[in-house]
Amino acid sequence: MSVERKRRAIYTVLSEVVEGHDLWQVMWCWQKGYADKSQFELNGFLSACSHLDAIARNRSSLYRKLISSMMLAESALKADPIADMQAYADEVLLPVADNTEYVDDWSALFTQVVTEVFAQLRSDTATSVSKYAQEQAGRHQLNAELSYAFTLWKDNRKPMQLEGVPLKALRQLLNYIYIGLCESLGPVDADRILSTAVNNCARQGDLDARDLL
Amino acid sequence: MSDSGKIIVRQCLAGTSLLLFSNAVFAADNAVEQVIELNLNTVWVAMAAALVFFMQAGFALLESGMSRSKNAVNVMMKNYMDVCLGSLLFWLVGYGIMFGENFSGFIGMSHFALADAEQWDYSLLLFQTMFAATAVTICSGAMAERTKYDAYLFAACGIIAVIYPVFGSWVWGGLYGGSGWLAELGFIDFAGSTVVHSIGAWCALAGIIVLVPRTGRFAREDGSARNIPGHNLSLVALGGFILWLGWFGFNGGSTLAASADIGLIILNTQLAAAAGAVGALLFSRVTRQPVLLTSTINGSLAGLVGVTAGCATMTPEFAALTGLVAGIISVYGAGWLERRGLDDVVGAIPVHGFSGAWGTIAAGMFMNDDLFNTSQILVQLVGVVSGFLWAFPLALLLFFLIDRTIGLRASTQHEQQGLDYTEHDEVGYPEFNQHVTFHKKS
Repeated sequence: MSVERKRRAIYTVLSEVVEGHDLWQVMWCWQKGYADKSQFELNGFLSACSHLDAIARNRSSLYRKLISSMMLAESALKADPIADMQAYADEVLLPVADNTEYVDDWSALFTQVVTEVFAQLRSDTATSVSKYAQEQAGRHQLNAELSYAFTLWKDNRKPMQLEGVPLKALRQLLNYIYIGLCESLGPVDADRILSTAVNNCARQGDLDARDLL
Repeated sequence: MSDSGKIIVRQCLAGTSLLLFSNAVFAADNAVEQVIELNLNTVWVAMAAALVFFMQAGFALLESGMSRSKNAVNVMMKNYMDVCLGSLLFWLVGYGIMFGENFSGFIGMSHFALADAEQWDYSLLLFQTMFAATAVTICSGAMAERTKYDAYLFAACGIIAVIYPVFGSWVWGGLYGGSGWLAELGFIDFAGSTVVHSIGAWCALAGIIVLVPRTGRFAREDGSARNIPGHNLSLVALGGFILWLGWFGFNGGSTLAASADIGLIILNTQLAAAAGAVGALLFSRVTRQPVLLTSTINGSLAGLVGVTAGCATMTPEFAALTGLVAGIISVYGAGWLERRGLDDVVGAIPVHGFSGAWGTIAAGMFMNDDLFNTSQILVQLVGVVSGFLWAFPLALLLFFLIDRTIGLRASTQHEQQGLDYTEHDEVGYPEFNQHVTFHKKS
């Protein structure tokens, strides 16, 4: 099941009990920490959101409804709320840290580097590495836009749209990918793969792939 | 007075004068002999101190060679500062704790920041300073490739100023009065298998436990170890040779005298080192493991560590046996640590810790003219266990506190970039880097 479908299912259920700021908060909580996990982990998700009365009071029924919603037909689900989530994130979640980091658009180059890394991996290794990176990104509350873009790339190989994402966040994600490589293959191969990927990527204008290290 | 009476008086006077003059000459000869002896001893101890100092270069080369190239400078810097900080701190506090007046049996309380002392005291301080630096540098290799530099230096200060000298006072203390409690029991550790090497190793064990392994060293699924080869085995070999050479000063100099027994001590040292390498080779063959250069050299070093305690009290055949067994222990010990998910980059703990413990016990087993004396063996065991119970928990606490305050471990990002760049803004091999791990804008 794609992340998008799961997100629609979650949104369909939760939008009945929470709204506004609270709704987008819990949606992002799910997106960052549970989008890639199995439905059996939804209990953990609800636990993480139990600071909201509406969820705490109805936790067991919400859990049953969430499980059921995963099996609903697409026509029964509400539209994908990602655009609204993004808008909320732009307004509230993303602090304006270092303005200079927003100038460069790393979308193409970062996508190329990540693609080069994963191109050197077997499919099972690529899956475990990307899953690991996504988990770490969620656990450490990495830039939401980047997390989502990586999720889309991971699922559909959609080029990442990273306008405005700070370089620091990109380095962090690449480091999570590197750690995933270390855990799967060992640090010697991880160094080699990352170095090969960076070296294979040409400079793009003023952007140097080595700056991602 | 009659003529015969005068002759007798004159003869008595002459005899007395002769006697007095002979005593004066004899006393003068004695004083000259003592001066000559002191000078010779000082020259020997100073030369031995220089050899032990040179061991620091051996450690630096060996540890750097066994690390990846992106961390080569960081390893060297830790070794370099060990001897620098060690020299200052040991002079300031360590020497006094270790050798000062020790009437409690547990700690020395005099001769801090030594100045205005006897000439021989300076020679002793010089020699023992090198020992202190050796003890702490054992940690640097085990903890390589993921330790923050500043945090390591703080830990080194704690080891040199407290952990090492306090235990040392139990064994070698009381030079200026009193005696250490282990020495009172009859514990033998001639040049420091336990006092220097095991203490350093137990601190290293605590360090690697707090640090946890290098990222990706052990597979998550089954805990199997992944090999992370060192970047330059030639450096490892050269480091091993230098350490072997320096050990002649380490053991030979511990006589603190230019005496005839130096020959046997250094011969025992040589035989143990050679046997250690053979032991490592044989064990590797018997267990169908490849005979690695690193294991073989570590086998020699284990032999050297092992014989350090008893090199002055063993006959050569037992020195060789001690070394042989130590070499076997070093290879087995490395595998033992690995199976428990403990990441010791250079094998410092099996070489200095396990083999040091064995050598200390062997010193009790193989005492010349008193083989397998069970009381002595028991005393040696007490010393070995005391060393572990003192150093390991204290070092664990030290590293834990450092980790909680300034952080002991480098971040995974720094681990990926290499500590040469992240800690020192330098590159060990700027023209020969195989992989790009970081980028520095010019």
